[in-house]
Amino acid sequence: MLKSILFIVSLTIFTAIGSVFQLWLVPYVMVVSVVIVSILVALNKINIKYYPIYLYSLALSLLWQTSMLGTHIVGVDIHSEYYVVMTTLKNGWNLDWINVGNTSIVLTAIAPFLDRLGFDTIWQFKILYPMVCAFTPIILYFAFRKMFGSKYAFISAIFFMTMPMFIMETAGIIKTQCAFICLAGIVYFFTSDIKVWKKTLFITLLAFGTIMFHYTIGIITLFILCGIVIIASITNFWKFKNWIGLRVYPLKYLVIVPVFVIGFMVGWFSTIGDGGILKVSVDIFKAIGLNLGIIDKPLVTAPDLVVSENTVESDIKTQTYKPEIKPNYLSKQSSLVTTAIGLDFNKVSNWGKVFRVLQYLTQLMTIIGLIVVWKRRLEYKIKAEYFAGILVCFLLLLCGIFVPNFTLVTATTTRMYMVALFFISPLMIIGVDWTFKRCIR
Amino acid sequence: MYKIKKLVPLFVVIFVSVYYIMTSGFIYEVTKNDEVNKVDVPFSVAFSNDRIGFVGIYNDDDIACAEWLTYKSDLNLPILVDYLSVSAIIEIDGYNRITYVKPEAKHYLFLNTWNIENNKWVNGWVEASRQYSDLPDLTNYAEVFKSGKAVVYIEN
Repeated sequence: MLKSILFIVSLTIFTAIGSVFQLWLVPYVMVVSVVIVSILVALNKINIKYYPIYLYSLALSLLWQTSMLGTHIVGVDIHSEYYVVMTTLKNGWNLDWINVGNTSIVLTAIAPFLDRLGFDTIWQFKILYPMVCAFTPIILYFAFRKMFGSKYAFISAIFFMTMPMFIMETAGIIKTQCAFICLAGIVYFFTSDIKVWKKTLFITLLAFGTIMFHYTIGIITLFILCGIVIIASITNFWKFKNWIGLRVYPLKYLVIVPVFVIGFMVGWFSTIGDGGILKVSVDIFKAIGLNLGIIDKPLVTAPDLVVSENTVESDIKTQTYKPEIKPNYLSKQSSLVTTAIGLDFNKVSNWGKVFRVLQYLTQLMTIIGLIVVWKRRLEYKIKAEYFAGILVCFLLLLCGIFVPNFTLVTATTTRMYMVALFFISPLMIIGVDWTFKRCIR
Repeated sequence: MYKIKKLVPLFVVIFVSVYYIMTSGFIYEVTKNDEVNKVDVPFSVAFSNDRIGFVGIYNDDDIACAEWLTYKSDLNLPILVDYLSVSAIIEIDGYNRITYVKPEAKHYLFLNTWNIENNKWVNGWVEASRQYSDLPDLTNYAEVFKSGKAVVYIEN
């Protein structure tokens, strides 16, 4: 216990202080720490009951190695978020202000409240919200542990938290940090054995949380919940009942969740920001439909937003940086998608090729893991709703690859993949495990 | 065979660790890769931001310039910035006077500390990539405010 506490305290303090002074050593120490702790876990050198402590310290340190850089806030969206907090402090929460940050209670209620109590917003953003977000991999660890055991749950959480999207992108978006806790909770409760009414209540409230914290994560969460209900409904008959896992959650209760969430979402976004997000959501679906219909022609994006004080940075990015015209359909997708499907393999350096080979392997292992987990769903005691969530996440990723401009009009590639990892990160681990066992047979 | 099977979790961890070492930005930094306008090898802010300027890590001088522009400059004039400097201004004043394209009319130009130290202007920004160009030609500009290395110019 003492060693664990010494580790968490020394690593996190070193990362925090070292990052403020931009000490070059900090990221190197982090890489070594993550690798060594993971190896010690694999070799049973760390007591299972201390896994959450190690996970938390690693997650927090990984977030802090970005958020604590220098003495000012670091990131992309975070600056717009800071502006929302300052505006709210000056003028109060104006529900009519059309600004996507204005729909987040972190920026319009929690941060201003804490600022008034004396906790400077800059240091809230740098210190406090990453401390909250660092619980995300812990919650996922507890969710995965029931199915895959402590060791593989730990490694799955490590795989999740070491993604650049978590370390860099999430560290720079406060709304996401809070919404991720809620999404992790949803995954946890889908895999839990608590009473049905409690499960329904907690999942619904957490889904409300994703909407109140971050509109994008809220909308994706709703999509996932609807997808889970549809898949659970389709397979709820006859001998298909155990096709996707154990049925412990009656459909009549499961259906309640997205119904309430849709109602809450419409109410929330209608009340705040004059329904702007609802209108953009409808336009996004129209844009997706149009893009599907004209694959070989110039693509349609979401409607242009006038650049004003209300426009967020991500909207400006898509307007002012025009990608070059590319000859074939899939090469028109975002650069990260073309990287994932190998279209740029010949255009990169040797190290770039090494990275891509590793990336393809993780993708292959994830698919293998999907098949293995499905075949062994009863052995792993996979809940049907959790597996349905896995399938929905795969659908999202496939849309990102094959639907023209999907990640330009909806959420970015990195965000889609990060959300998918809430459900699918153990699959990669199981895939690697199965493959190695096959190789040594 | 049993002993090898016991080591399978170790093989799994090694696989994940190798992938993490690649995606952490470690390789990008130790090989001094400078490719940022497409995804070559993953880079990270913690390892390489001082070289690549992926996001703004502002110091007090950058913020001082942003505050001067917000509170003490001529509020009728637009502010020409690159994608690195813009965030310092929008957190104080939103997008009110921001432009990425050089206006025809009189305007301010803001160069932050990173722009000056690296002699680069970040003129393109999509997902995980950035594009650089040279700093704007300062021939017709006069310095109106400076703090440390960060500087605000006005077009003459």
